[in-house]
Amino acid sequence: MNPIPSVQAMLICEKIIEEAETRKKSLINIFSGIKSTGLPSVLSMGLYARLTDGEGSYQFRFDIIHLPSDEKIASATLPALPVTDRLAPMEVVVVIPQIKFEKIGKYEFQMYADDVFLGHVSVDVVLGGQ
Amino acid sequence: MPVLDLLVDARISPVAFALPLAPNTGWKPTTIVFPLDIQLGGLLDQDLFFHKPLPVRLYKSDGSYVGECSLLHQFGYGSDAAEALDDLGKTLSEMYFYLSDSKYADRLSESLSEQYDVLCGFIGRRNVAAPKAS
Repeated sequence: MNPIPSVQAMLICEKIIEEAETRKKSLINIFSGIKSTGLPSVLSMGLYARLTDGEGSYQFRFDIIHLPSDEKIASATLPALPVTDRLAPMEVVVVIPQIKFEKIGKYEFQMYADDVFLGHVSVDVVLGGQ
Repeated sequence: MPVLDLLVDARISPVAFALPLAPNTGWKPTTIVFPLDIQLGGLLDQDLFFHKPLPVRLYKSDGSYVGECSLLHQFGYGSDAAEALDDLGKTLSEMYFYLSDSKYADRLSESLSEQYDVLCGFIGRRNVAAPKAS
């Protein structure tokens, strides 16, 4: 069995830009809550995860759960990703061009590697004025 | 029910990795059914790591969510499943540090010593060499 990678950071932001030459990533407008004037709230976002201690081939899965209703609103499984250097940090970037939040409350973004729960990050959706 | 399209683009460093766009056109929201068995592999203190995934059962009890590790007789509680898992991660970390310190001070009873051995089968400390897999 592959070693279980450790999550060093997991962040949600509006946009992730990767510099073509160096592959360094810039996270634009990191957030943990959304104030919406109405529902459903549709927006695009990026999910960034930095991992370490991985070696072998992993299949990563991301689930998005609306916690108050325990409803899984989305799931995405990536094809197996090879990791050769256990000491090197891994970066996994998921771009979500359109996600629809139909309810207020906390949404949890869960990360799994080979069906093993690694970590989560949440976004709170609230209704607010203009 | 609206269909959510998730377009996924993943890159893993240092290997450049590009996925074809893969919309989940058939996806429908589903309600999670409890009890739910998961394999826990994260949420520990930064100094600790999992050797292997720990079986955890998530369930509801009296309006709260509970994350139970029956192997170690430990629980985490919260107002939602995420909080229960976070609480369990903290509980397991504290348990490891407490038992580890007591073990080296030779202050553990036989039953706690056995529990520590079970815990060490799943969790290790980063600055200590991991036990060899059997």
